[in-house]
This record gives sequence, structure tokens and C-alpha cells, in this order.
Amino acid sequence: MKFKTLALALILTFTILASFKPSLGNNENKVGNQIDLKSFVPTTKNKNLTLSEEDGSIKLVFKLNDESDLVRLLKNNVTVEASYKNLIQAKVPANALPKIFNSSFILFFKPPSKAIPFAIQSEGVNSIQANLLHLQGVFGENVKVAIIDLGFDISNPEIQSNIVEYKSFRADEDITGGSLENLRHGTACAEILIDVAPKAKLYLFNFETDIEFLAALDYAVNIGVKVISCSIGFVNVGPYDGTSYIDEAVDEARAKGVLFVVAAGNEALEHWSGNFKDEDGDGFHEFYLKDETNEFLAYKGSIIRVFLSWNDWPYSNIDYDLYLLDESSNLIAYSNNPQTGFQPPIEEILFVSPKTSVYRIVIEKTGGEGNAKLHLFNFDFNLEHYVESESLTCPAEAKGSLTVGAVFFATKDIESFSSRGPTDDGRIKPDLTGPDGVSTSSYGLSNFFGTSASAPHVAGVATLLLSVNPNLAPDQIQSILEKGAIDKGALGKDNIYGSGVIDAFKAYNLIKEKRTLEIHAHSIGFQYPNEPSEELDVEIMVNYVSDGLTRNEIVKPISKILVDYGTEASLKIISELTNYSLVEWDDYGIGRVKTQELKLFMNEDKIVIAYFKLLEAFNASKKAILTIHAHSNDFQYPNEPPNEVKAKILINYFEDGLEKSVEKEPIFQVSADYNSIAKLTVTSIPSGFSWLEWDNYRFGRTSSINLTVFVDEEKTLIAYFKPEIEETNMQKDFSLSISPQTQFFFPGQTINYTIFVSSINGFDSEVTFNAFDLPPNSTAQFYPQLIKPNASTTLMLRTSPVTPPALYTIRIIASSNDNIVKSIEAHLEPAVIPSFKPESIISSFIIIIIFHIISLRRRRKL
Amino acid sequence: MRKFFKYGLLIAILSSLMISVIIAQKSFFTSFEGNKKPEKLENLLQKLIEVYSKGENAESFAETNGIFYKEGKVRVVIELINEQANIPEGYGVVIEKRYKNMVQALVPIENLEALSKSPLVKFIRIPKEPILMMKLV
Repeated sequence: MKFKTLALALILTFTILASFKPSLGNNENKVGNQIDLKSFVPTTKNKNLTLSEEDGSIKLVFKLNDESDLVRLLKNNVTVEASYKNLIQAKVPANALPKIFNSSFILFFKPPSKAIPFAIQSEGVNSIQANLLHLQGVFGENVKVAIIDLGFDISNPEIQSNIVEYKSFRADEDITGGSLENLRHGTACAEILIDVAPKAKLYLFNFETDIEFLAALDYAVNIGVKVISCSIGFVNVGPYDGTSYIDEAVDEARAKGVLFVVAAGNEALEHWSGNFKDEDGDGFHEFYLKDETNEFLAYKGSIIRVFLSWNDWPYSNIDYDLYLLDESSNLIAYSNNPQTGFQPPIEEILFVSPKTSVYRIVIEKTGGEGNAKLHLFNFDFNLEHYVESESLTCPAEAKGSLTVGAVFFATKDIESFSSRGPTDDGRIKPDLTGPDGVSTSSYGLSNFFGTSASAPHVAGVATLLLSVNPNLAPDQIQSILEKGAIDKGALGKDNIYGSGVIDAFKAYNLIKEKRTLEIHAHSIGFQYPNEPSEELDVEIMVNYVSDGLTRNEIVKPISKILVDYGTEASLKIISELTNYSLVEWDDYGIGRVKTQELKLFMNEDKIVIAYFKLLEAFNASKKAILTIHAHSNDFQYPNEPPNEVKAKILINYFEDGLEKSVEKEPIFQVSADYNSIAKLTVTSIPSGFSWLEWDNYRFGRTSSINLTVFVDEEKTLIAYFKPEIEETNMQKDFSLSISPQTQFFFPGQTINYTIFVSSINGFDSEVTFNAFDLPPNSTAQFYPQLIKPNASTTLMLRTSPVTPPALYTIRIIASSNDNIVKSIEAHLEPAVIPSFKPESIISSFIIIIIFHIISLRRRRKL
Repeated sequence: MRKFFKYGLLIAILSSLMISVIIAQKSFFTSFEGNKKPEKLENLLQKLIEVYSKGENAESFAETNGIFYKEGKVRVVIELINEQANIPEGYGVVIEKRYKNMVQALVPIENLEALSKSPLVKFIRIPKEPILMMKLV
């Protein structure tokens, strides 16, 4: 009886204790409020928040889940002073604060914003000499700038009048970002940008996830913003070599003419990278010498975020696991995603620190062959063993990003935490550094630290330059900003400061500088520096930028034009010459270009020469052969078709001084007088084709069916026709078949399957192939990758010596541009090698002996 | 008698060798799982489904692990096999945002596993959240 009671008591005690086991989810929920609560404790340091002397209450603004939650707030003896939708300004008794702060219906709270008698300006403005541009009337007027961040206070008086559009890409469409931290961050970045470029047109977009970020970026590009400032980063989304899906989106934005300015990150002391090392063979990574743990100190209530990835993207078969130990080396959190060839190479731990304590990170290898290079990020807490280099987050390492590190505004020295390059593919990053530790109304005086603060300073300067010269392309702006930067650290561009600290005034002076464009036109008989006594009398249309304005001017050589530094100029011959024909441009330094229109980047003084060939006098005895073809557009030179298109072409030309005319189906040739004119016309187009264009031998394509050529050499002229696709009511489709469907393999062997694509109802789009569910450690390639039906491709499946010999079903997915997707299975079975097991031999031997003895006894009885 | 025993022994040895080959072949096939069930669901999502299937507190598990799970639906990113592919019908998927072949969507938890097996789906994962580059000093 006593034992039963004792056992019951023990069970009860255990149950009660278990029910009090701290739940990470609940803690995580409270974290935002705990941090906020700490910062709102009414002290002399927090001037925004004071206890009322009358009744000891505190004035706060609450954002509720819903307007109807006001009833729940009122139950806490609060006095509502004003409200707007779900924003409530109320006086709260001090003793009711803890209960209210932990209420689930409150999204966040903050002290009321007070009208600011004078604007708070970032100290960075003077530090980077943007104030000198303001004195010259340069304010970033009319330049569209987007800030992509987590949340915004669109009523903030510092930025309100600049906002042209704001849009939330979050699923809940909450522009505030759902937390005070998000609200402050985006707003502070916008404040800095407006401090630097006070007349910029501001577009504010917020998001919560990677896909929402990409959607926001896409939107910003499509509405024509010129600069994007982004003070966020991602980890574990891909390798840190500029090839992740986020990097690719940034590269695309840049290609479309948008300068994407991004914070480098603050992880120099919170990052470790290097190859996995396990010299003692116990499976655990050695961070430094024989130390298998990497320690850090975290405060009570703070969120520990540890991210591990390794260079085996996109799907890894090297398996590493991540552990978090407490100060007594007890396991308290872990991430053990399997990596068996089908999963990305990532592990992540989120944990709320229950007390201020030392924690230890451990990495274990649990599977796979070979060792990978690791990247470990431990946000907000400095690591015992850290690696400063390669500590950029994504998309700071993107090729298309202008990446900004942080220097303290007063000293212009690098912040110890500012992330460093190079990228994993060896490019120098950051590109520039900008000031931090500056004042904003969101974070208070001199309190906004991190590369988050630096990036909008640089984006602001880019905006100022664009207001002076709207024709600057992203490459040109970056080139000017880097050239105008104050070089610090190692001489030239380095992985700590980039090209140096941004300087608005120096960059401005660079674009105010002019470069000379000198234009010549010569006979090709005079090659530089052998100058002719006279230039050719030709008219050249020059398109260039001067004082920020685009100009078109017709000039005659020799001409000198003053052009804005760092802009693009283009030149085109517009005269029709009777005695000369243009051969090529010498575009100064780059080489010779056979083009009608020459484009130049004016980052230095340039001399350009148009070279012409003197046409010989008419000579009936000298001939040039013209060869005329008619091709389907499917066959482009030098991919020749087996047959010509049955079109008819009329050619009028001169032979022995007499005008002649021939109309034929290609291929045919005519022998024309040298230095004469020949005219060609397509007179008949066969059914099943439509007209496309002439290929005018070295001088490009023309869509007219009439072509005029000057006979100064032997020429091949091709008329291109486009095959017409027959309209049909039947659904176009394709089918797949495979041969053989099942094959046998030995590990390490390469196996080929042939996949046939058959057209149904005239389907003729390109089909691309992917193979999934491959055996471990094997690769698949299709030769060719793209085919048009009816055709076949070969799947070459390379297994590895360590591929387990088992049954596999490989899925082959074929998809076309018009969204038709088909799949087919290929089977792989291990080739059988007879093997002998001692135990099976012995057991079967015993069975046979028994059978033998029994049969022997039977024989005896008989 | 001795002759019979002698041949019997020979037959026994040969038979045992044959049987051992058959047994060895059988074990050869069954000793590996092969790739019959490649996982196209992020590990945490698999664990969430497991918690849900056991009737345990899926909401709590989701919250602890930073997964958005509300009214039986999980917010995920569905990576399709290419940009042309569309989300397969019949799984109750509510699309929130799309970028190229990646679709952010709410998916009923009971349909997640089946959706991942569609040939149009390459992988299903939890959306990635950004890090603010503001430094607390």
C-alpha cells in the first residue's frame, strides 16, 4: 500500500514537473515583448517613457490583433486617449504592465511618437560629404528609390512626404511588419536615405519570407525604380558564390538597369568557415587545433540562431549534424536533417536562452564520403573561434549587388563586426563601406549601428548622382562611387573596406568632370598613328551626355566633344558616300569593330576613327560572285540545311556594264561587275513558310524583302523564311518511351537508357529532361538535354563504386515550354554476384546430412 | 553402405552450396532499402506530419520550430520541377506568392506528403526568413 502511494506520488510529481517543462514556442512568443519591455522600462535613459506624476500610469501606443480586442485591453484598467483602427493610445497603470505585455492580442507597443520640432539627421550625411551636394542644390530629386525591408512606419514625419508608394508583400499585408523591431528597422533605413537624398521618391516594400522578398524585388524592378536599398540578408539559401536563387534575382535586377545596394552583414565575429576536420577520427569537427566545441555567451531571453551549411549544393549526400550544448556540455538543441543525396546541405537551430550562460556548438559528421567546406553563422553572439573572411550573407555576395560594409561615422575605421569577403568563388567584397552609429528618430541618437545603417547612405549617394545624370547605368554608378571612395586598408580594393569609404562629393565631382571624345574619319590606307593630311567629308550622328542631358549632334571630322565622365556615347555614319564604304570603327583601346553604330563608355578621353575603303573605279573586267540562298529559319549559318526553301528570288545586277535580271530558286550564283549595285527581291514564297529576313553578309539582317548590296567583294546572301505551324483543333502533346526500361549494374558502372519523344498532333516544341530519385552518389546527364520530337535522348547514369547495389526506380521528367509535363520510370537492378555465406553453407549441410541419415535408416529397414 | 554415404556426402555438399547461393542472393536484394521513397519534404515538415499523425500538439511543434501552421494549413515553399510547371490540383493548395518555379503556399497538413510525391514537385520546404543587418552594441 505504502509502495503504491509512493509510486502514485512520484508519477504525479513527474507529471506536474513535465507540464512545467519550458516550451520553446511559448518563450519565443514572449521574446519580442521581453526585449521591448526592457527597452521601455521608465528610466532616466528612456526619455520617451515616463511615469505620470499624477497617477503613476504610462502612456503607450498599442497595436492590437484586431479592433475588437479593445474590449480585452480595457479590462486592464487602461484609459484610452485616442484610437485609429487597431492602433490605440492609452494610459496604463504601472502595475498592469506585466500582464498587458504578455497578452496575446497585442501585436506590439511603443511610446507615442511626438512631433519632432527639428528633424534628426544622420551624422553620416556630413561624414560622407553629402551636405556639400545639398549646398549645390543636389537633393536626389525625381529619382525613384525603393527600400525593401521588414516593416515601415509610414506616418514617420521624417519620411512621410517622400513616400510615393508603399506595399506589403507579406501574406498578412501588414506594412508595419508585425513587430516593433521590424517597424523600426525599415523606417530607420528610409530615414537615412532621405537624409542623404532629401527629395528622392520613396517606394517602401516589406516582406517576411524569401519568396515574398523575390516578389518585392521583381515588383520594384517592373515599376522602374533606379536604386534599391536593402539592409537584410539570408543564410542557408545556397552557396556563397553568387549562384543562389536570390543572387540570380539580384543579377537580373542589375541587368535591367537597377542598382541593388545591400548591407554586407555584421557577422565577421559570428562566423566560422573552413573544411571539416576530424584528425582524431571521432566524427566531431575540430574548430581550432583539437577543440571540438565553439563557445559563445548568450543572455537570458535572447534567441540563439545557429546556421550551418556546406559546399555540396543543391542536394548533398555528405551528412553533418549540428548540436548546441550548455555550459555543462549537456545537449539542449540539435539539428539532424538527413542528407542522403536528396536534401540541401543545411542544419539550423533556433533556441531561446533560458539564462545568461555559455553555450557550445558542435558539428558531427554522420554520413557520406569526403569532407566539405563548412559555413557556420551564429547570429548576435560572437564565437570563441571565428573566421572573419567569407562572412558575407546572401545576397551581399551576389555579382549584381553593390555590397556595403560598415565604418564608424566619426573615425571611418572598419567596424570589427562588418562582414568581409571574399565570396566563395574568390571575388572581392564588399565593394564600398559606409557610416554607421548614426542618429535616427527610430533608434534614437547615435544608436543605429551595423551595415544596415551603412547601405542606405550609399544608396542615397547613388540617388544624388542619378539626379545629376539620370542616364547613368548601374555599372557606371558603381564605377564612379568606387573611384570616388576614400581608399582605406590595403592599397586598392580589398576584402575589408572594398574600394574604400563612400564620399559623395568626390563622386559628384567625377560625374561633373568631362572627357573628350575626338572623332576622325580616314581611308583605311592610313592607320593610326599614320595620319592623313585631310579627313573624309562624312557626317556622323553622335549621341552623348553633357551636364546630365542627353544630346544628339551631327558632326564632321575632326570633331571634339566634351562628354560627362562615366556616361555612354554612340556614333553612327549618316552620309551616303559614293566613293567610299565604311569598313570598321577603331574604338580606341578595345579594338576594331565591324558595326554601323559604335558605342563607347566614356571613363577616359577617347579618339575614335571610322575607317573607309576607297571604291575602285568601274571596271567591267573585274567580277565578284554573288551566291544566293533561301533557308528555313531553323538553320542558321553555319548550320546548313540539307535542302533550300523553294522560294523564287529576282536579282537585278550589272554584268559587263549591262543591267541583267535573273529570277530563280536558290542556290544560284551570278557574276556581277565589281563596284556595281545589285538589287534582290523575293518574288515567291512557298506554302508552309512566311518571310523573315535577309542576311546581308557582314552588315546584318534586314526584314525587307528587297535588298540592295554594293558589289565590292564576293558575297553570300541568304533569304530566311519562317516555317508556318499548321493550326489544328487537336491538342498538341507528346509521349515518352524508354529502352530498355530495366538494366542491371555493378557499382561504378555507367548505364545508358534511350528515351524517345513522339509528337502527337503536330507537337514540335523543345522538350527538356530532368532525372530524379537517382541512386546515392550517382549522376545523370542527358545527351542532348533539349530535343524536338520525334527524336531521342540518351540518359547517361553514372553510378559510383560506393553506390549501394539495390533496386532503384529513377523518375525521368520531360517538360516542354508550353507546360506539358510527362514522366517515365527507368529501373535499375544490381547485377547478381553469387556470394557464399558460411552460416548458410553449414545450415544447409546439416539439413542434407539429416535428410541423408533418415533416408539411410529407411533403406536399412527395407 | 560406405559408397552410399560417400555419394550422399558429395550430394550434401553440392546441395548446400546451391542453397547458400540462393540465400545469399535473397539477402543481397533485401539488405538495402534502395531509393523507393526519396524524401522531397524538408525534415522538419516530416516531423510535423508525424506529430500531427500521432494526434499530438502539431500547433505547439510548429511554433517551437518556426513553422507557420494555422487552421490545419502549413505555409511552405513548393519548388516545382521547372518554371513552366503548375501546382498540381486536388491538394487544397492556397497560393500566396510565386517566383519562377518556387511557390509560397498554404497546404493542408494531411495533403503535404501526397503533394510532395507529385512528379511536378521537386522539393517542399519551410520559407526562409531574413536576418536584419542592424547591430546591437
